[in-house]
Amino acid sequence: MKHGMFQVQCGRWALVFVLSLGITQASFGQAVVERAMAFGQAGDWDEALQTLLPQMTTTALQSDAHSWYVLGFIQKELYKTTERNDADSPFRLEAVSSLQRAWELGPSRDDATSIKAALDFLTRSYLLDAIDRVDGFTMDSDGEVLALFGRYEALVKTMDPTADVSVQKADVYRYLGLANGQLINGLEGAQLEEEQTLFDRSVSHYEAALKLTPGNYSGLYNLAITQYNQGVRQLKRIDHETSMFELMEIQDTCVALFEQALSPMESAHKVKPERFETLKGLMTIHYALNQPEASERYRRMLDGLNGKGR
Amino acid sequence: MRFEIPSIVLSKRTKVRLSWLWFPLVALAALAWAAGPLIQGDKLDNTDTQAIMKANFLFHFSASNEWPAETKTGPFRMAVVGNERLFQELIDKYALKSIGVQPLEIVSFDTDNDMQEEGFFHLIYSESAGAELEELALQWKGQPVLLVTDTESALERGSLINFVAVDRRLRYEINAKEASKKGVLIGSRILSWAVNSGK
Repeated sequence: MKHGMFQVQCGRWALVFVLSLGITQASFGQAVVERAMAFGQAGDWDEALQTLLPQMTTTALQSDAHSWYVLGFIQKELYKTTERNDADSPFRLEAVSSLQRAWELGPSRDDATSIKAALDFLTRSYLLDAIDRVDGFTMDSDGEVLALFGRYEALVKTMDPTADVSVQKADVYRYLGLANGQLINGLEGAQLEEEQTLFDRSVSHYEAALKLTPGNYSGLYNLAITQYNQGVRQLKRIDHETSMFELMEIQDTCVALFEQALSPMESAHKVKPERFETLKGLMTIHYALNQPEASERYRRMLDGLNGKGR
Repeated sequence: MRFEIPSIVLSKRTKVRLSWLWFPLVALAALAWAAGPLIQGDKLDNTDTQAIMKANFLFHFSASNEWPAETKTGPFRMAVVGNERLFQELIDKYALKSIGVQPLEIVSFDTDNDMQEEGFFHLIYSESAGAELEELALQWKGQPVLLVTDTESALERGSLINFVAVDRRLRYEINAKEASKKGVLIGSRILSWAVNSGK
C-alpha cells in the first residue's frame, strides 16, 4: 500500500515537473521571440534572425504560429534589405515557407491579418520581378520570367485556390512575345539561327497568350506583325548575289509567313473593325501576297477612316 | 489587399518610412499592368515587298539575257517609269553592279514620254497599260529593248516580259519570240522560271 502511495506521489511530481518544464520552455520561447522582435524594432534583422532561428526546433516554438510568423517577417525584411535584386532570393523563399507554416498552425486574428498581408507582399514581389525581367529582357531569359510568374501564380493559389490569374499570365506571355521580337531587331549581321530561335519563341509566346485570352486584340495584332515582319526580313536579304532559285525559295518562305500573318490580322480586325493599324496591316499583307484588289479594298477603308478625321 | 507593417514588430517611425516606399511601388505596378505593354510593340515594316522582288527580277533579266553586240559598249541602261520605290530599291542594292562588263545605270522617269530624247535603254520597266503601253512599245519597235511591265494582257500590247501573280507569288510571263525578233535572246534560266514563255 505504502509502495503504491509512493508511486502515485512520484507520478504527481513527474507531472508537475513536466508541466513546469513545458511552462519554462514556453516562457523561454516567448522570451526569445520577444528578444528577436526587439532586434527587429532596432532594425537589426540579422541579429533578430540569429536569435530566433536556432530556437525554432524546440518543441515550444515548433508548433507556435506566432513564432513562425515573427520568423517569416524577419526573413521577409532580410529579403527586402539584402536580396531585393535576387530573383532566387533564399530569404524570400524561407519567408514564404515560415509564413505559410504560421498560417497552417492557426494564428491569432491579429497575426492572421498580418500573415496574409506579408504573404501578399511576397506574392506580388514575384510578379514585380517577372515584370522587371521582361523590361530588361535578354535572350534566353524566358524561362526565368515564367518561373517567377509561376511562383507568383502558385502563391496566389495557395492563398486563394479559386483565384484566376490567366489574364495576367497572358500579359506575361504577350510581353515575352514582344521582348523576343525586339531582340530580333537588335541582332547585328546575319545571325540566322538566333533570329529563327527568337522568332519561334515570340510566336509561341503569342500563341500561349491567345490560348489564355482568345480574341485579345493586342495579342492577335502583334502576332500578325511578328510573322509579317519576319517575312519582310527574309526579303531584305535579297541582293545581286541571290540566284533565281534562291529568289523563288525566299519568296515561298515569305508567302508562307505572310499567309500566317493574315489570319491573326483578320481576327484583330474583327475585334476592332475601325482600327487604323489593323486596316493598314491588312492592306500591306494583301499587297505582299500579290492580291491588289484586296489590298485596295482596305486602302479605301483607310481613306474612309482618314475622312472621318481619325 | 493592402500591406500593413505590423506595429508589434516595427517602430512607428520605420512603419511610416516603409509604407511610403511600398505605396508608390504598388501604384506603379498596377499602372504598368493597366497601361499595357511595358515595352513598345513591334511596328509594321513598311518596306515595299513588291519592289524588292521586282528589283531582283529586273537585275536577273539584265544579267541573264543576251543583247546584240552593238549595245555592249558603254553602260547597261535601265529605265524605271512610274515606280519611285522600285527605283530606290534598285539604286540601293544594284546601282554599283555590272552587267557583264557594262556598269549598270538606272534612271527614273515619271511618265513614258519623259524618256524621249534620253537615248537608248537596254531594259525599260513601265507600269503603263492599255493604249499607253501600246504607244510605248511602238516607240521602241525594232530596237533591242526589253520592255517589262506589270499589267494585264501586256504581252499582247507589246511587252516582252510581264509580271503576274500566281498562287500569291510574283512570277512573270515572257514573249520570247518577239524578244528574239528584236535581237534580245532570253536566257534559259529566265525561261525556266517563266509561267508562260510560249508566246
